[in-house]
Amino acid sequence: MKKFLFFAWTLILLNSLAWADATPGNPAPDFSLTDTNGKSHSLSQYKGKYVVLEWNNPDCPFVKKHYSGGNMQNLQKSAAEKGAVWLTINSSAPGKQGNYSAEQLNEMNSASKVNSSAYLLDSDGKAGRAYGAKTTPHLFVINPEGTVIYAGAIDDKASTDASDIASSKNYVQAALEEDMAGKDVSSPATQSYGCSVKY
Amino acid sequence: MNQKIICFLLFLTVFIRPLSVLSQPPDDMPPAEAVLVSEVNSIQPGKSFWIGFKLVLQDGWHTYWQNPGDSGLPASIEWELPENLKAGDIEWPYPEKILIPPFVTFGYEGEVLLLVQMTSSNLLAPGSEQLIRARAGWLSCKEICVPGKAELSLRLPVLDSEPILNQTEQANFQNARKRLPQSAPFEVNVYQNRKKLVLRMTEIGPLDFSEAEFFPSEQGFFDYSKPKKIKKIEDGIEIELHILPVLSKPIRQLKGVLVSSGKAYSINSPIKQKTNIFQWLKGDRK
Repeated sequence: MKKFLFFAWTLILLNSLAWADATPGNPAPDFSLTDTNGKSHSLSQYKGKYVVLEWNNPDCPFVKKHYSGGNMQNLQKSAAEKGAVWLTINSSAPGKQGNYSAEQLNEMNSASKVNSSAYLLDSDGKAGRAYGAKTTPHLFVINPEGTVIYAGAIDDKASTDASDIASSKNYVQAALEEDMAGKDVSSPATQSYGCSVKY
Repeated sequence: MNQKIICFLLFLTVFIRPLSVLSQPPDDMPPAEAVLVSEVNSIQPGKSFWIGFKLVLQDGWHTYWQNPGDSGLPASIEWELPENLKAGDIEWPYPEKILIPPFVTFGYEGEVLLLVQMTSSNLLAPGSEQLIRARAGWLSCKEICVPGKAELSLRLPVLDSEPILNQTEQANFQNARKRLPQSAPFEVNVYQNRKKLVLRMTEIGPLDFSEAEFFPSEQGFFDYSKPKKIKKIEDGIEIELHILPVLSKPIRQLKGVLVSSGKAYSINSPIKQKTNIFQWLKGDRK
């Protein structure tokens, strides 16, 4: 009996640890992560502001697609101009692709002129799993009330080719603009595309 | 004594080097090699023939099926063809499940031949040579992903006779065609049961589906990481698919490939909602 109870509890625990998902319309899971400058950030501290979460692995070709020509940086800048907080999150586990020290990341980010508000380290994958982040990039937009209003791809052209960006529809920008204008977000959930997050 | 040690060290270097080469291909060795191959060595005007886009992957690397699963990207081909040739869509041999915990992707390891049927017009002039050109893009992943790109071409003469078969590739084409989905020789019904989709196959006869695998044609509908459940029912089986909590669009039709015992069957079936007794009483009897 004891064994059974232990087993049952383990199962329940495992279930709750497994895939949660940041579903559009639901409250965004809170997290507390340290950025590359040692500063701590939680989602709850940004209540009252729009927050964009961007899952990142600087070595993934799908991420490079959006950084090499400045697309992601422009998006980060335009979000900031709209008053949104942009948090870039790296969930690469130690030893896996994209896992770098804070110093290395700071160097890389300044070289590629990253404009996000902060670059957060999630090497144990806790925040990534809480959001159900599957790919890099994978984007989430959260409104000032703390509700997820968008989850999915950065745009509608799944490719590694930067020349596709010009003709793509950017879902993140659309979600921010539509919600800020008081409209319904036209595509609140899309299929994200990219490399798998290296948990 | 010293000699023995030196011999031993030399012996070690012999073994260590090839090992490190195996585990880590040098940087200039791409994870996949792409070629365009043809099943025929000549074209007969008005006759269709098969072309293949072949990817040969290094050990440990994989590339993707039309639906890559949780991550990844399928290959794409852009054709540049002479006037009298037309290319069909890529026909995808059925994939295998490639597990990258906690994710599940669908793709190929080793070598894959993606098939494309070419149709030629009667106007092709015998004696001429046709240049088939393709710009191909694909993604190879191991732990990491590396996109590949190639401009490939193939020249084939036009002869006013039965096409000459390409002996070196014929078996590969035959094997790839065996992995293409065929129409299902059984009854398929799909219905939704809350957060699950039930794929019910009946009149299956002697077919054994106990190890069957279903690959949906489109991304983003199902949670593949949940354990698969196959249930025997009278005269058939049921496979349960777990619907994801967030869908980018509603599922109205279940499209995909059912693979069992080395054969693939195409599934394309509307989804029936299970009508409950109250709807039935209200006269919503469908």
